[in-house]
Amino acid sequence: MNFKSHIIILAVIESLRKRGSWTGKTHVQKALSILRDSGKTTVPFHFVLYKHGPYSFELESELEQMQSYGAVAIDPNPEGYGVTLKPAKMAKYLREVESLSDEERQAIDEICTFVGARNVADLERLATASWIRCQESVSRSTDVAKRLHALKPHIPIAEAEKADREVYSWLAATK
Amino acid sequence: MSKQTHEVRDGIHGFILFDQFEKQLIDSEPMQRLRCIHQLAMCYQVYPGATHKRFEHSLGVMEIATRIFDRLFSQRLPDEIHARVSNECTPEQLQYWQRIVRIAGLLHDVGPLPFSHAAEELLPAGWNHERITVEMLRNSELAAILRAHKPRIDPEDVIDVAWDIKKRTKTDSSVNLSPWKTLLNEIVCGNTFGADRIDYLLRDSWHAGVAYGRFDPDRLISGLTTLIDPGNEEIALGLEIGAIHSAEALLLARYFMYTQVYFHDVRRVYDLHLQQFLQAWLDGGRFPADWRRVIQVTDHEALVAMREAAQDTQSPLHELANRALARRHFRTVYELVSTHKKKRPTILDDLHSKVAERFGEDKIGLDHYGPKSETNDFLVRTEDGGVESSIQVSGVIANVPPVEIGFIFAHPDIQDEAKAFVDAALKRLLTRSRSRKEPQG
Repeated sequence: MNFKSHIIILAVIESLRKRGSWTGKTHVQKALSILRDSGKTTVPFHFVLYKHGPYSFELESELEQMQSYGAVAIDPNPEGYGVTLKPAKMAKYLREVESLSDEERQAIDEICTFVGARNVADLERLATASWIRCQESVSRSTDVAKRLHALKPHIPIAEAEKADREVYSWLAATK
Repeated sequence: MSKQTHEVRDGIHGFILFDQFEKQLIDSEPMQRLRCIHQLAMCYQVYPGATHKRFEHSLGVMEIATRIFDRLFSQRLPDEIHARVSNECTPEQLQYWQRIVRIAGLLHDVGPLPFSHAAEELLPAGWNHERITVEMLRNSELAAILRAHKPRIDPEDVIDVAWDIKKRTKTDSSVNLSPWKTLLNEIVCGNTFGADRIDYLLRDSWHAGVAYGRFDPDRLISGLTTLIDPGNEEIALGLEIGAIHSAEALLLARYFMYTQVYFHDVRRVYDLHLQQFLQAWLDGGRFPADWRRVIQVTDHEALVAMREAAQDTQSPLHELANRALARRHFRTVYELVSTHKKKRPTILDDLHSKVAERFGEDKIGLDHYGPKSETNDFLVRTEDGGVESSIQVSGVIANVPPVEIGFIFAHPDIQDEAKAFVDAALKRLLTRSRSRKEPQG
């Protein structure tokens, strides 16, 4: 049982909820992907570029593990799309057996502030732009936008550039 | 004049038709080998009727994939969807893609190991049956048959449609399918509506003689549609609201088949014994990564070796063979239940450590899978033309539980003693976890 991974996921869920986010699975996936790209703290999940941008199958299965022992609960999103995540009874147990440093908590709060209010489409664009910059080492904004458009042809170049500018500003500001 | 259309009678789908070109593929050595690979490994030791082979499943997937393709693309797509895929699915190209979908269904799993996936862990690191299938599609006689077709069929198109994109991404993170190919991939491999899944649920339940896997595939397929995901504006395979009950039935069927058949404790212990036998029998304890050598072995060769070892008391494999053939299989002494896990999340591992320490690793087996809910969240077109998530519109789908199994098995000679030990240890561990004084990890 990987409690260190679980406490990180729990902290992301709590931080997103504190910021009024509807806290879908995509929020947690993309928050941790961008946080990993930023290098601000160790994110213990392997990500791949999947159908809807960076995605971690490990993170998904750890989330299921947390549900199964009652650290996290899932409800249909009242706003009408996907599911919403919330801490459950055994979150208390998790906090007793594992903890996070102040630096880790601060890094999580920063990324949750950045992504908390976003919708799914924005999250995918931002996380994919971040991936292209940080994992594929593309540095020019026009090249990032071109690559993002190639991966997701329905995203116009101008929208791709906007997403890159936003995520680049955040990555630079948190350095 | 030779016959141009051929047919086989299938217990699940009725007549399955195929043409001369597809007959060449079906008659090839890799496809004929599938007649010698049990679909459900040694599940027939628990459900005696479950002796069906991967051959008929492959034909069934071709049939279902074709029905889905025809349902989706026999009429012009809505403009907003057509605009996204128009460069790949012109009316002239549709026939080619229908052919690709049929072949992808037929060959989607042409490289299984003996006893299907029960002994997959015995492949070298980084290898699995999907990779072996891909190697065969690129290099075996199948590739030559595909390339000789007029118009030429690119084996890479077949691979793109046949190789579950989710599993492929785990092996090759650089893969990026076009929206059109993503749709076709979903037709064959999709988690909820894929032809592979539809066929194996219907076929496995029918052969096992259980009612759990039954649902209405015709209603389900007639309700399939393409739509735009309002969340991310991408094309997706979804369902008309009128067919939602057939999707509910499919998802419940999947849940029950997993819990009652695929993860039946005795079936799982046979997988364990099969793996132990194959490991001891194979050169170096592993299957080779070379597909040419893998396909030389089928269930038949492994079963002959097992029978010989079971009859030869001097054979070093005698005990392992007898576990599978003489029903000297390990017995279940603990089954994980969710209430135990919610009291002590590490209960299965903790209990296994204690019982293995007491009786020895060689007398105890552990099996754990999940939790895994698969993906029940798909898109549904509602009566007013809107698009909603399935978990919003169906309370049944929202509440299909994830599948998780955990078993501790013991050698039959110590079954009673091990069970008594486990019961006492379980009581102690759960009592201690309630006090929350002991660090657990």
